[in-house]
Amino acid sequence: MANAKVIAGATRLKQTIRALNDRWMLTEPTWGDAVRRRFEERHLAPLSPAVEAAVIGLQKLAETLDQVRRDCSDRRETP
Amino acid sequence: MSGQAEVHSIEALKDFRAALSLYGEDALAALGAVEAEVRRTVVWLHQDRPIYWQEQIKRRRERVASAKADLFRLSLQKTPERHPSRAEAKDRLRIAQAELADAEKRLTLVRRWQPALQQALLEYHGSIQRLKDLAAIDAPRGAALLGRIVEALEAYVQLQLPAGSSGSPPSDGHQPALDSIAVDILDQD
Repeated sequence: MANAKVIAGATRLKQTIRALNDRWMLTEPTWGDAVRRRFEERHLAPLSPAVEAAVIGLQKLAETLDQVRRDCSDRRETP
Repeated sequence: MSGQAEVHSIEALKDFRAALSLYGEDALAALGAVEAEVRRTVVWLHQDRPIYWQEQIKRRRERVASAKADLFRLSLQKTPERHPSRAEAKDRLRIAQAELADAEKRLTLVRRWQPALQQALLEYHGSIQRLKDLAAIDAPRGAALLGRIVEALEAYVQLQLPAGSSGSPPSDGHQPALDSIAVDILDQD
């Protein structure tokens, strides 16, 4: 089982970008000019790939932290 | 840039501006919570674990020595007439030796993980850096930009509307001045 707190962080990142994208879906039809397109390209388009990269990094980190805990813990210790 | 400004709802821009600000804060908070977990694990691995396992090795060596002594005592008690069972003492020694071996293996793993975790953290920090920058710098900048556009639109609407009326900017009319304001703001960004 991967580290729950790190997985929770990844889940939160996915939820927040989804919420922002949902909000943008409501905003976009109300703003139809070239300025909106420039704003979108500059400030919104880079977010989703950055979140995807972070989520992959977080998943790897969660597995690593879990492996560290398993390897270095005493089975008799209470967590 | 060509074309006309087409903003149908200033309120929608305001809402999105708030959502973008919140997004930046939420993303940073999520990464901050992970960072706290990372720090806890680093401290645990570098400070707690070496001391814990060194102490365990010491204790378990003592247990092995004690189990060996018990077994030796039983062997001394052996006479042609008396054969005390050594099975239990042998079991205790076997368990003590296995526990000592486990502690030694764990200490080796702790020492192996210390540099390996640092490397994994370097890779992790590389994977989140772009998002961190976007959330910490770009999202507030985008929100501020929207704020300036909203302010300019509201000022423009006030100029266009007759005194006493209120509402959204005209949605389909020709608005070269408005377009120019928004482009200027975006160019300053």
